[in-house]
Amino acid sequence: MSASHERIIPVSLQQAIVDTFKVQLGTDTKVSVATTTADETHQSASLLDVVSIMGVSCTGFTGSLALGFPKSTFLNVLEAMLGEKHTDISDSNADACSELLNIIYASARVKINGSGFDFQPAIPATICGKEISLPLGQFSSFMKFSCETPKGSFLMAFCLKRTK
Amino acid sequence: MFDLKSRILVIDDMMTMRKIVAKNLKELGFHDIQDAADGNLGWQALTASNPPIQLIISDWNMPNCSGLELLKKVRADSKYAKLPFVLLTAEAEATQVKEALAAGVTNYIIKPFTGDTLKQKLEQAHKKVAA
Repeated sequence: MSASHERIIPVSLQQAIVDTFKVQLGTDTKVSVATTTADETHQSASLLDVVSIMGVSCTGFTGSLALGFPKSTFLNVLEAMLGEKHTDISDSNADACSELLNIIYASARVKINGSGFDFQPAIPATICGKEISLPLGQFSSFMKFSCETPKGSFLMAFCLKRTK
Repeated sequence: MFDLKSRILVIDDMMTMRKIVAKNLKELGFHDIQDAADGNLGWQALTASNPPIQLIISDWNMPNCSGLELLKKVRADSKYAKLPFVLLTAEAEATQVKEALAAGVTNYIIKPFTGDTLKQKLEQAHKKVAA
């Protein structure tokens, strides 16, 4: 896998975030991408109240993709998606985080696999709580996607390592 | 377009997506909307419904029984062989689209989607079954 080959991954994920929020929520999203360490990502993640994560894999690689929101952003996102106000994160609305992650990954996967990868479908799981850390501790560095929208800020993280 | 009195079955394992589809359907004027959380529950709802379901809108990727598995089951039953069946999917890969068409899907919608896209896809599905 060449460096130029690998660049398709963050570019496709970034575009998928922008497209998903534009179409499903009708909102513009500004995304900045940086490679960061686990500690730095942990600090950012401590502001999150709902996180969805999925294990991803392709030939020779395994990794994780996570999407997380602070409560205020998530409640605004819910209102934009569902057309109804929510006052708290609950079991009945937290799956919106999984649905968004699912759409983002599937949209990006089509483009990434078009460049020769063979990433497989994945099903996300969601964690709700207060000041959640992204459960990506087995990876030393991440691609961090810091996202800003009129609904508030949120975070996506992606990491990949070679399988033995 | 489908009769606004049609009973529509929306199947998705994500409650959020069921609510989004129902919200968009209500904005189009439909009001008789049932839902189910996977293909097995969808089949139960389909076979038990009175009045009968006149349109299924189902997610593809679900645990227990996927949308594609449900589609094949529906098409294998002569009672539902011509029932309009629209698949919702986040997977836009050509192989999957071909697989759905081969299984007899009436139309498919790729996530993310707007209310306008849903309307357009339902109009296309109605034309196809009415032809």
